Amino acid sequence: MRHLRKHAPATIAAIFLCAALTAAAEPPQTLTPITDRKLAPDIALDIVDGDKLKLSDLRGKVVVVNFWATWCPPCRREMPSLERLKGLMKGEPFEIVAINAGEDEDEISEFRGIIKPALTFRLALDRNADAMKAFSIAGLPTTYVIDRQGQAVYRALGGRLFDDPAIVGTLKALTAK
Amino acid sequence: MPERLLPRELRHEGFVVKVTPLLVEPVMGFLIGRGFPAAIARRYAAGCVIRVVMSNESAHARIAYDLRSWRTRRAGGALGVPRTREDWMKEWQSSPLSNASRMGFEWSQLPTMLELDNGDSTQGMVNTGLPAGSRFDLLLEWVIAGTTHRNHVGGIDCAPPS
Repeated sequence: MRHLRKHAPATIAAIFLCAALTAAAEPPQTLTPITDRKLAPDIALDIVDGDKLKLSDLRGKVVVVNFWATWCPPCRREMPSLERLKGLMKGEPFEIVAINAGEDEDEISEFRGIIKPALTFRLALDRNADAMKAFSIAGLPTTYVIDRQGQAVYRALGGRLFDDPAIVGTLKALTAK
Repeated sequence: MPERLLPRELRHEGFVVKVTPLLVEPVMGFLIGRGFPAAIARRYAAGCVIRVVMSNESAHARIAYDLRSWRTRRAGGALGVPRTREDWMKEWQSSPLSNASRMGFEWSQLPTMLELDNGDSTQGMVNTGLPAGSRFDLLLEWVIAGTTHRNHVGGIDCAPPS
C-alpha cells in the first residue's frame, strides 16, 4: 500500500498527461540517418532485476537504444511497438535496450506490470543522467540505432511505431551488413 | 470541470504545433509525484503551464526552434517570455531536490532548442509565467533551411486559479 500511495500522484498525472495528447497525429515512421557516424558511447548500465551491461557487450548486434520515462506520453505509446519489433526481429543479431530517465525500479516495475504486450527486452536505469549526457539527449523519447560495428547510424526524436514495415526493413538491412 | 482546456493548433508547411493549457492540480500532482515539495510544485504550477507538442510531419527540411525566441502576447499587446527548463533549474540550484526530482522535471519540459527531421516530434510542458485565467497568443519562431518563419497560436486560455 505504501508503494501505491507513493506513486499514485505520479500515475494520475501521467494518465492525465497522456489524455492531453490523444489528439496528436502520428508522424511518418522514419529513422533519420546520422551522417557524422562515430562509435556510440560505451555506457555501463544497471539493468532492472539486477544485471549489469556495457553497450560494447552487444557489439556484433544491431542495437536499438531507447531513452524513455514512464510519465512521458509518447514513450508509453511506443513501448508496445518496441516489444512487437523484438518479435519481428527474432533470429536476427538484434537487441533492444530501453534506458529510463531517473526513475526507480518500483516505478518501472509498476509500469511493466500494466503494459501489454509484456516487455521482455532490457530495461536499464540511468539514475544520474550519465547515459543521457553521453548520448546528448535533449528530449524524450529519443532512440538511437547502433550498427553491428558499434556506430550510431540512425536517430529518432519523438515517438515511433517501431514495428512499422519501413523501420523493420531498415533494421533488417542493418543486421545483414 | 474538464481536466484540460481547449487545445489550439498551428499547421504550416508540414510543421505542426499543438498547445494545450494544463490545469494546476495535475501539474502539481506530477511534480509532487516526482518528489517535489508542495510549495515549489505550487509555484511552478501556478504560472499558466501549457503542454506543447511539435512535429515535422512533412517539411522539406529540418526544422529548428529556440524557445527563447518565443513570446506570449496578452490583450493590449503586452509581451512576455516563457521560462525555460534551464531558468527553473537555475532558480532551484540550492533547493533540496533529489537527482530523480530534477531529472523528472528537466525531461518533462519542452527542450529549449531542438532540430526536428522529417518524422521527428517533441513535447513537453512550458511555464508561460502568466497569471491563472489569462488569455494569450503564443508567438512562435522557427527556421527551415535558413529561412526564419513566424506565426502564432491564438486565443489560448490559461487554467483558472485553483
